[in-house]
Amino acid sequence: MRIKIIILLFILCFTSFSCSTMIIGPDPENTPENNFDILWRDFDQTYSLFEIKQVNWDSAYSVFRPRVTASTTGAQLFSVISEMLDLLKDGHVNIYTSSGNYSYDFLHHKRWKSNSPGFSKIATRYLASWNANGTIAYGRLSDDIGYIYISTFGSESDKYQWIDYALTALSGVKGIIIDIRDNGGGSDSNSKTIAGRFADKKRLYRYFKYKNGPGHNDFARLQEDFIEPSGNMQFTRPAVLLTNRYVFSAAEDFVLAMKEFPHVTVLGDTTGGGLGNPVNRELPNGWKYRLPRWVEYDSEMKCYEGIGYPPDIPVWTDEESLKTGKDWVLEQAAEYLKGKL
Amino acid sequence: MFNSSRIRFFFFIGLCLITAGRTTSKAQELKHNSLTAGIGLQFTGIRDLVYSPLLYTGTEALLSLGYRRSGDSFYHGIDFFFSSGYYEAETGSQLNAQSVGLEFGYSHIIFSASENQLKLFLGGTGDISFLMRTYQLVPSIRSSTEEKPSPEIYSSANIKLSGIFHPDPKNSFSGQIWFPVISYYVRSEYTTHAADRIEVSRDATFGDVIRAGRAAGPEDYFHIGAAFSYERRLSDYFSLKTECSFFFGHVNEPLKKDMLNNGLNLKIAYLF
Repeated sequence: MRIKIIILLFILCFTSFSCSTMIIGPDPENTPENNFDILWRDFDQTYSLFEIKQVNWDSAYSVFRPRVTASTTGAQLFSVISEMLDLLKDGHVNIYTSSGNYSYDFLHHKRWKSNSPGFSKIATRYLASWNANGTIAYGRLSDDIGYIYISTFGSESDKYQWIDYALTALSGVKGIIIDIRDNGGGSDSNSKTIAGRFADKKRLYRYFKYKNGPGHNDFARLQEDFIEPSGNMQFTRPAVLLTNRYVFSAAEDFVLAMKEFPHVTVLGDTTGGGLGNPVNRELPNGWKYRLPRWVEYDSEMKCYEGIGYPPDIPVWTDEESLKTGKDWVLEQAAEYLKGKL
Repeated sequence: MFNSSRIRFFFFIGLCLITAGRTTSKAQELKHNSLTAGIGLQFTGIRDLVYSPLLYTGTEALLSLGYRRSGDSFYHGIDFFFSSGYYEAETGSQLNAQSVGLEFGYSHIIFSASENQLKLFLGGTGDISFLMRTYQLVPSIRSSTEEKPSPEIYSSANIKLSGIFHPDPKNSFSGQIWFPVISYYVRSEYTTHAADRIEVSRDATFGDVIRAGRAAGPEDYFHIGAAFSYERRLSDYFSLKTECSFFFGHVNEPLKKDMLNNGLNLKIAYLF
């Protein structure tokens, strides 16, 4: 009797478990048309920058959807979708598949080039000694001028606490150059950790609003965001922040925060203009993708999405000098700082 | 080789068998209060359109603790559970989930028959559960720091109908079904969730996150839970209970979420 009851309970459990598809409903069909439609619709209802980019998404559907049929292969679907997403010119729009990934190609479409020779050449040519943890490196350009290089804001958060070691080691300098050229971003939280070490007081540095509905203009309320002093010490003497076209996302947030401080000057090239804060999604065919979900403004409600933040002092360089390891941008920054000390 | 959790499991089964061998007293007075501890498996299916159009299914380990005080015409008690596990979609994408919950309730007798062999109760429960899910949607070529858990909190005041049938002093069958009257929940917004709010704006506090929740009637957040169990009295002080539970939840806002749980639990109760 007891055994029968227990068996009955088991059957009841397992049967209802196997019914989860029936109760919750089956997955959307994994067909080329359906994958295209799901992706197009998700962008239509989630992508936050249609108004700013001035892209007519319905027209995109009319143009690209007829190219997808039941016999479309995965490679063909990827090609059609990539072409459609190129309309957005957005570094935060990506597709990841097992056979290849999509990102908007800024080098190909906009001919953007880096103005940095890279840290190893800088270290060899300009730093007598230096220290690094794989994310942050620091050294001295001279007795008076310190140099901090931040390669990414996408590492684990504890790596950014290392900024305190850097600032302690550079405590005798009169000015610092912070180099974030080619820094493609990462986490806002990490960029705030570093920016807080240069904050003189609490300051409003940006506004943002999240997408909160399917309409292109459905946004949650505009939120203010502040940067304030953090860590044991803050560097409030003259500082120069080096930027270029490959400064994106959380690295641009860092620029927005740093530009609020009166002792910081931004020098180099305009930033990439990708501030969309992406969210990750997936399709029934297993492809993953991401797309921006907010609009961000600086403290004066200017939006640099697709434009990039222009430096206070624009400085360009040429490929030939970069190849030799000469860093014209860095040298200009050092000259500028000397004049401020 | 056995790991420590397996050893604990076999120790538990052994304890049950030893206790089952003890002679129960002839009078076998029904004790009114109990403390229970249970382990089990919970099979879950979930589709949350805020994150994915795909159905994720998987298994969670379930631990539970409970206290119950019973009288001739009522019972009340408090239960705590913890679950943890992995789910997978058809595409191989994974999701890991943990949850903790607390439920308390009071039920009063509304019907009895056959010299109290059968009793029906009507009552209310209050519950709160905290869920943490991490969708692994970030491809490996990107930084793992992008992968953030999405916390959710659900709290409901429920109506509960329950019944117990004692065919003899050693065996009993019980069943219960409950559904919400009003709920309050904190879950993902259309494109964001609580962890984003705390990370992006460091001024946001846990209190802000709680206040960002919404009150909901059954039309916005509906769930129905049911449990059926068989309890075998092992001795004057212990009983063993096998329980099959079922839970279906549906949330409308900001995008639809459906969740189905089936649990199979083994509980041992200390009676006093």
